[in-house]
Amino acid sequence: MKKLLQIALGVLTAIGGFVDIGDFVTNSLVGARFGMGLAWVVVVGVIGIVTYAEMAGRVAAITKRAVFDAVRERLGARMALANLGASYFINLLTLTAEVAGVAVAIQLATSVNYLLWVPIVGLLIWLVIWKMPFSVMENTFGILGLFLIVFAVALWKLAPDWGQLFDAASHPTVPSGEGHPTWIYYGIALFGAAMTPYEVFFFSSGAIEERWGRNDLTVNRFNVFIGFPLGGLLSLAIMACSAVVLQPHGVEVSHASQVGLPVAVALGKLGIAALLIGFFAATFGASLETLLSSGYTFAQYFGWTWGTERPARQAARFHTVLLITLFAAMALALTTIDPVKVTEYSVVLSAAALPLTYFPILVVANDRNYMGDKANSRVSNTIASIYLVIIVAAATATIPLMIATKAGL
Amino acid sequence: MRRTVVPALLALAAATACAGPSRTDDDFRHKAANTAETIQGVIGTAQIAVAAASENKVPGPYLSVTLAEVDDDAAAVVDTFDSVQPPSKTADKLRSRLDTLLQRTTSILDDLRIAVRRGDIASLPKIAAPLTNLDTKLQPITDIVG
Repeated sequence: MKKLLQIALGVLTAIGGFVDIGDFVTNSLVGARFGMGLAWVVVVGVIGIVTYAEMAGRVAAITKRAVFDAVRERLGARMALANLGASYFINLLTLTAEVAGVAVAIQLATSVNYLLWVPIVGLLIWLVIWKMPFSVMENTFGILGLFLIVFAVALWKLAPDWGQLFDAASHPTVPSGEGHPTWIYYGIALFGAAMTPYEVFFFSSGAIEERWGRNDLTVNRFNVFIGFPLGGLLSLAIMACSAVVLQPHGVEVSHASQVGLPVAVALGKLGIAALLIGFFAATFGASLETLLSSGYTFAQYFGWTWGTERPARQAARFHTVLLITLFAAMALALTTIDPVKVTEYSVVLSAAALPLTYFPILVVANDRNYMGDKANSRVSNTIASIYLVIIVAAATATIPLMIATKAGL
Repeated sequence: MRRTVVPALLALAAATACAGPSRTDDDFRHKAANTAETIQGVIGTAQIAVAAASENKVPGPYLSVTLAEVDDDAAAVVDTFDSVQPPSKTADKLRSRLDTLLQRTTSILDDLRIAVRRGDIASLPKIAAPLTNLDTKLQPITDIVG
């Protein structure tokens, strides 16, 4: 019974925690601009993150080593340092977007400018990391993030032509007036949003914080095989809501407030209340995850003691990195940099850095010296290898497309 | 390493930066069309928000933030377009035609922002009504470049 509860809680947390500001903004932006024509990318991205997150969780449970440990060992100190720099930069951008996202959620509820909320949000994040036990922190914001199911309810209430939506999703075409490079650029952005590296850093390090062992492999599988795809459905619901309500008006999504308008149209004030709780929880939870991921990657690269469960004195350098990173993200957010633009850049740049994170996971998951009988099966190797090709192709195309399309204009 | 990275980053920044001045009529037409299309999107946001508000579906603070952002967006679009140098007399005519529509749109969006901040939700549909006509008039400019 206890195991069942643990699995259910893990799945719910995985669903609620799947959507962050990257998914929130990118799916809405793409839905408003391309309809459901890029929905297939979400499916591709979800299968990818499921494949690699399961591997990362399994590696952590069996070897008691987190992803960046593997990165350092398999890529060597120099290459891993380059990965650390790239991952940290993307984490910082993502954290900035998430912190600003939390502040925007409060702004939408109060109409007090989000910049005034940024320092308070920063303080709250620090207090939660400092005081709240890891599992409570993870479950609380994951479960509250489930309020974003309001998008699925709104879509149902909007009563769209389901056949037309499915047809658009299953027969992807580039809309007239849009170029192929722009279409591919946004496809890569969606892919990057679904496969953000911080997710596997956090997932595998979290497994070690929670002392996963062989017995937890079932929990791992349920989390990723059920939780993540259901989280992916939430992403598709956000996209579909925008396709139904915003696209006919030619709306270009550039603010979080626009993302919620379909919910207001369908469900009114109650829907907006649920949306704001879900948006707050999703961005707050993702702030914690990205911030912790920054600390995890540094500590695992340099071999420091790390973890929120350890007394701060024992993991002083880990906590110092967290504090500096949080201050840097808050400072960046306070420059009045556009949160939606930061989000767009962070998901696109994530795509560029994906191979450096995912390749070492695949290598370690195949090492029978470490993994024993829990090494990758032929099926998971085939899927993971196909994905590695996709990841490398996306990473190679990202920067040229960014330049060619003037970042998706 | 540093020698190649810095110019590459500068080139990236330049390539992804905002549009420069127009040198030909064709380029100016493209900029006018893009501006009209963006403003139509802004009008669309305002219309959805006002329609939902008129049915009491949007909380006051949410509506206030949405309409303020829409107003800011429109002002930014107009500023950017006004800063583009028209290259010929033909371009002057297009500029004048579009600018009139843009000014009327921003004026209505200003009024919406003021009304919502005063809590005068009931007046929003009436204030926003001319946006439909403006949207229709902007369409031919959006369609200039097909």
